Amino acid sequence: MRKSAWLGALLLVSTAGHAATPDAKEIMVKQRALLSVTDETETLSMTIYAKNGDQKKRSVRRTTRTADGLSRTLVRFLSPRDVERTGVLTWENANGVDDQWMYLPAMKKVKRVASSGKKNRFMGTDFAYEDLRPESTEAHTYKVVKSEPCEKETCWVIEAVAATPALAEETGYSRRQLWVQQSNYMTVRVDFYDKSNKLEKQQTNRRIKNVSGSVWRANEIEMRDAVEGTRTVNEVLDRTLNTGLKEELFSQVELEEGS
Amino acid sequence: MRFAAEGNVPRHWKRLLVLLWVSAAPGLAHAVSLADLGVKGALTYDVFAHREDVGIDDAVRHELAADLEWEHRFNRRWQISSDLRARIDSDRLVSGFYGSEDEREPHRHSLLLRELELKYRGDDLQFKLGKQTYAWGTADAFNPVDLLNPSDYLDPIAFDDLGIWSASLRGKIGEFDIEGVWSPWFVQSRLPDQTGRWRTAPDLESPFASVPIVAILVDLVPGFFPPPNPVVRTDYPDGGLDQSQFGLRAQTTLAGWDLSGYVYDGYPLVPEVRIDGTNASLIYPHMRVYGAGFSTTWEWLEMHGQAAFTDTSIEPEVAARGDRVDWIVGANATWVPDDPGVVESVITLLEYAHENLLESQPGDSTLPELGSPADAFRDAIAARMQFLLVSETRAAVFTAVDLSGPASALVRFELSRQLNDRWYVAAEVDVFEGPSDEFWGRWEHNDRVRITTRCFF
Repeated sequence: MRKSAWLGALLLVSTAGHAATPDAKEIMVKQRALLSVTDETETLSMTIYAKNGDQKKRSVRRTTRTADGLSRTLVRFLSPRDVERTGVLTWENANGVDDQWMYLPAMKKVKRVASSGKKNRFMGTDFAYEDLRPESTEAHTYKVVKSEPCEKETCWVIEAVAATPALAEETGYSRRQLWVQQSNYMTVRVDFYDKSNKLEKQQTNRRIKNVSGSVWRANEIEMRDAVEGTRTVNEVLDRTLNTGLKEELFSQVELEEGS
Repeated sequence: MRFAAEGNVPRHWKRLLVLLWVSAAPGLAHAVSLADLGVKGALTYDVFAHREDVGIDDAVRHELAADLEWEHRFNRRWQISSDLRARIDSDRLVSGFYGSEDEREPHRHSLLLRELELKYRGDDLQFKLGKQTYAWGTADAFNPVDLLNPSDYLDPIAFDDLGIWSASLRGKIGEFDIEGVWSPWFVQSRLPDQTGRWRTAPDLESPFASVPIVAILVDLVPGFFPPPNPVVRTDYPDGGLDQSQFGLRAQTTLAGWDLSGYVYDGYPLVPEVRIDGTNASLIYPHMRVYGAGFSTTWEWLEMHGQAAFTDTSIEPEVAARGDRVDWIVGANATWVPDDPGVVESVITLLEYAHENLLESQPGDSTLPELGSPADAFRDAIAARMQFLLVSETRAAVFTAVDLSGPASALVRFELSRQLNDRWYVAAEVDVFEGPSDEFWGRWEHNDRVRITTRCFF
């Protein structure tokens, strides 16, 4: 009798556990649905730490607008002088292949950026261009590796890999592991693995705040290069949500003429 | 006006002034606290060390330039901005404090208003008025659709675009971004000084030094060696409103392709040469140019191209070179190593440019080009390989090969580093190769090293 009770309890836990772990893709799709907003503007202070401890400060404004489930993002450097007004515009496409343009003020020209250019580091930071795009659930396949405690929460550890060989060619990573909090679907950590499957970078999202309804945001994001020993810390200085930004603000005209 | 003609003393004074600027300018900028005045900018100190002296040009030239940018927003819609360059050099490229905007003047002035722009940004429409620069083409080496702004070719391998006084209107019609430009005053490009190291004419003592060439140079460079024959005609289009320039660009993005169309109505930025018997004319035929361009990406490639058809039928009796199509195609490939070490990425550019003359007018001469680098891209390959290294260091090699005759080439090696937020340093080696009567080969004596130091403030 005692034995059957134990078996029953075990089955119950096992079933409950199985039911509590939704499909990884469902988690990521739900994350996007819960955390996405119509539009968002952030002013960021970027501090780039060299291996020898030297620091460089950069100020960036990042503006995003989402329509029909696809986002358009404009990142603009506000300072220092050598990169001021440099901008990157990204249009997310349903097939996972984005359109991306860059504006270099010295050339006064908007230039389209090739896909593999997205692996490049973004303006001397530890972030690659592709790290700055929203998570594309169409461009990746996901699986839940495990659940484990993270800070005071419990996280799903989800592995993301490119969905097709072509997309795998475009990305600089063989896979990523994301730690997604079960309570609010917020990603708090991402490990990036290079093509030889070695840990290349680690992103940590801190000072997580509820900013509106189901929307949570990190006010501090650190990207640490595990190989080079460098790191970049983004601190959010200012954030506005759902202010009705127009589509025209995410155009090549704005990239070139905006400030 | 010409220091060289006045002996060496003024040039020593200029060297001294450059040194004073170099030592005092950053401190001065800090003391005045330009940032508090809304002024930003950069101080750039260049040393050009050429292989040898050429005529009255020293082998080494020092140049210091201060770029001052100022911007003021009146409100959400209106803003004004300016870009002023103050420059001094130890040689003859900079002369006089401030002069007319007519770029036929053979030297730069110490003070140049590069841009002055009053901008209105409405929800769907943008209007700009003032001295402006338009960079429409997407190619790196040569853009046949960039026809509005003249350039300063006094140093033809380190040239600057010059702003033009103009009004522009930009807005969206359907899926198209449309920009129209009207410029009431034509300004030609400033050509290399024919008495200096960048002269394009053959050596006067050579058997190729024909009379018409000398005549042309006399007109371009006041004070040049007296001509046996005068230039019989120049028709610089400075007739005011009757000789305005117009430009129109329409562009859109369709299924991953950036597509653009262009129309230009105006005059060539570098005069054409017409030879009738032993007489020569510098002419600026009224022309209309229709262009098209594209840019797209495919996997790791970015591809782009432009074509421009020049219609000279408006003034067929004047046109020297006739109708033609200039085009360029190119590709950028970015390679990011899977296991990055010192090299973070390698960006490779390859472009091919060509000109097809559709008809040849009697005046289409065999004269050497007047010094515009655009002349080097009538049948040419340009290639660039750039290595992005760790710690914001870049190394690059660039080459432009002119294939219009026996091959001649410019090869450039570059190394640059952003030391910190304020300081930038770069070194460049330029090497010319080829026969001495070809575009690049004729400057073989100008092989040089350039060292640049820049301080942002």
